[in-house]
Amino acid sequence: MMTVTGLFLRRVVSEWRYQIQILRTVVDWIVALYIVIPGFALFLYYYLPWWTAAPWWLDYIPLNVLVGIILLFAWSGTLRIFVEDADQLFLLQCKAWISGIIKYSLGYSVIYNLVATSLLLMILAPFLLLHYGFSLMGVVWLTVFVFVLKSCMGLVKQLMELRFKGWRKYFVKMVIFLIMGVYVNQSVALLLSRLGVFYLSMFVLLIAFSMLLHKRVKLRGTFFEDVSREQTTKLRLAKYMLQQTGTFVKKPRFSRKRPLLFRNSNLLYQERNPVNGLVEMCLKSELRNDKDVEFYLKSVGIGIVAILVFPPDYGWLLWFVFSIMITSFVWIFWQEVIKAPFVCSFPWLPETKVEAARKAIFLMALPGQIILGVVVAVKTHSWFGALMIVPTSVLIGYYLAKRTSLRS
Amino acid sequence: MELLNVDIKHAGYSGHTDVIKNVALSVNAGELVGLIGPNGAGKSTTIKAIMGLLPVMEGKVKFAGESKNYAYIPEQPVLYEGLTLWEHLELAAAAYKIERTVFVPRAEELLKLFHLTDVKHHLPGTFSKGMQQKVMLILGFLLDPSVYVVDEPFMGLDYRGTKDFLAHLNQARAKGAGILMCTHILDTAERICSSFVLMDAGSVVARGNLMEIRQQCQLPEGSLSDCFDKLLVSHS
Repeated sequence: MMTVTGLFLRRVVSEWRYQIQILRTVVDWIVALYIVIPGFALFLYYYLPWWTAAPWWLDYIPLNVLVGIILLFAWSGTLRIFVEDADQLFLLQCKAWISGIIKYSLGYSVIYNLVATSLLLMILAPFLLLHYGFSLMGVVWLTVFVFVLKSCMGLVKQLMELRFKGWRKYFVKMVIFLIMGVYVNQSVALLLSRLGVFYLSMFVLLIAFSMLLHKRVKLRGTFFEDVSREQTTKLRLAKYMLQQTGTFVKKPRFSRKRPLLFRNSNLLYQERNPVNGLVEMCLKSELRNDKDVEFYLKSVGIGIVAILVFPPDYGWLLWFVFSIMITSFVWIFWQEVIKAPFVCSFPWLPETKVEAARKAIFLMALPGQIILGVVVAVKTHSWFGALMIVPTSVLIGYYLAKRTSLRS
Repeated sequence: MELLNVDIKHAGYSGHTDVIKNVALSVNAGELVGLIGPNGAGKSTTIKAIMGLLPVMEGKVKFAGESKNYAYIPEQPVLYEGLTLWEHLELAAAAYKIERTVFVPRAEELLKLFHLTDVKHHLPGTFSKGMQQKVMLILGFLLDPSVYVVDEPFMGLDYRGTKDFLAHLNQARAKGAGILMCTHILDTAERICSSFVLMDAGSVVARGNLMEIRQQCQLPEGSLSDCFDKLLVSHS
């Protein structure tokens, strides 16, 4: 007879099977033999000696970079709730079963976080021990801290996503992320200097975790959001793999009746022609797409953090690297637009598509490039740089967009 | 005047190259040709072949007429979720370089006809299936082509939507457009089509107007549905 435990285990096993199947479509034995295994061996060849002597390049990487990595790791991912669309037919009526599935799912996610955190901290351990002055107990405490923090963040993000919609959701999440950034920075500093206060901070974090966990278990009426999140999480790896082959998975439906931006279908270009039509469509649909805007802002945010954390000498190099990265991201956005079945139903000339790609990619990447440039200029106190940043961004952005558009 | 001439020897996919074979049909100005047949008869494959969407296709498809263009109205609405209804029309106008002075009044008129004026700045992703189908019809009519290729147009349309669609189709016919309509709703087809192409198992079983089809199956008073049944039985 099927039990809640049996059903949950079946779903977890099926999830792992599914993810392994996807991986196996890419990592067949040839790839494993010629790329993965040699890559892993090479990693071990370089990595193992770092347990006896820290690599020289760590001198150029301040502790803040490590704190940044920890913060991003803790912020990433979500807590899984293994519910499925079909559960509304029967399971939703059995409160005990749904509640059981939620409890088991949260337990699974917490254990998953513990394993993932332990792995990350094990990899970082030689750097922490030999370079940043952590004791062995310090590394263990840091592992516990990151694990609880990651679980807390997963719960907070989920609760905020359920509570807020639209721009408010992103605003609240951004504020929480910034507060967490300060909190993690201070906690790591306390772990190295004032252990007693760190224990107190850890205690507060644990209380917050238990309260959040209790709130999530008791929360009702979130079935459809849980199913939607679960589907997105389940398909994340598959979507990534498909994107590598140039196939783009259809995005979830817009739930809003009328868009927030360009509410009256306002025209961006008075001159109507196929190129302007395509560019306008791409800009509007991307600006209206919460997920893509979030991804764009996150990328710019990471760029800002990197520029602030690294020494000023690296500023312009980082600006250039992030400019290329942003151009590549918006190229992916463009691909999603141009390959949409509706857009494909019109007879576009190849030169129209290339010109529209150049224009759209340039316009989408430019704001991020200018923001990062301003950050570099402020950081390096280069007033000349500040004056030059807009024309430089326009020129380099245009060049990058032109090169990228030819890939379309 | 002949607007569309199709003569397909065989067409299909690699590995299954003759999903349809020996399919010949033509659509004249002002004519509404019903492409009818049971599920799996090859109607949709024929439409794909006409639009050049099949990897294997041996035969000829010739569009004539003043504009030599066609509008395809698919069975399943194909829309872009990030754009409002009006922006869908704007994109179509940009793609086909329709003059603004022509586009705006024509689009407004079509929106009014299909009762979608109030939602023209809404995202069609939130529309019902019937409303989405109306958007596809508006997109088709907007281009004002010489030939309409319409795949199962009545799916999801309510009574009023069907009526408005047929009225506009008749208007287009009166202006000299030709229509190829794939459907399995035989009662409506019998009422509105000027001629029929009956398909089964990938090939044409019969063609002609209702009188000719009645003669072919020796049912002088039979409905299209009766003729259809008889022809399929004798074909199998």
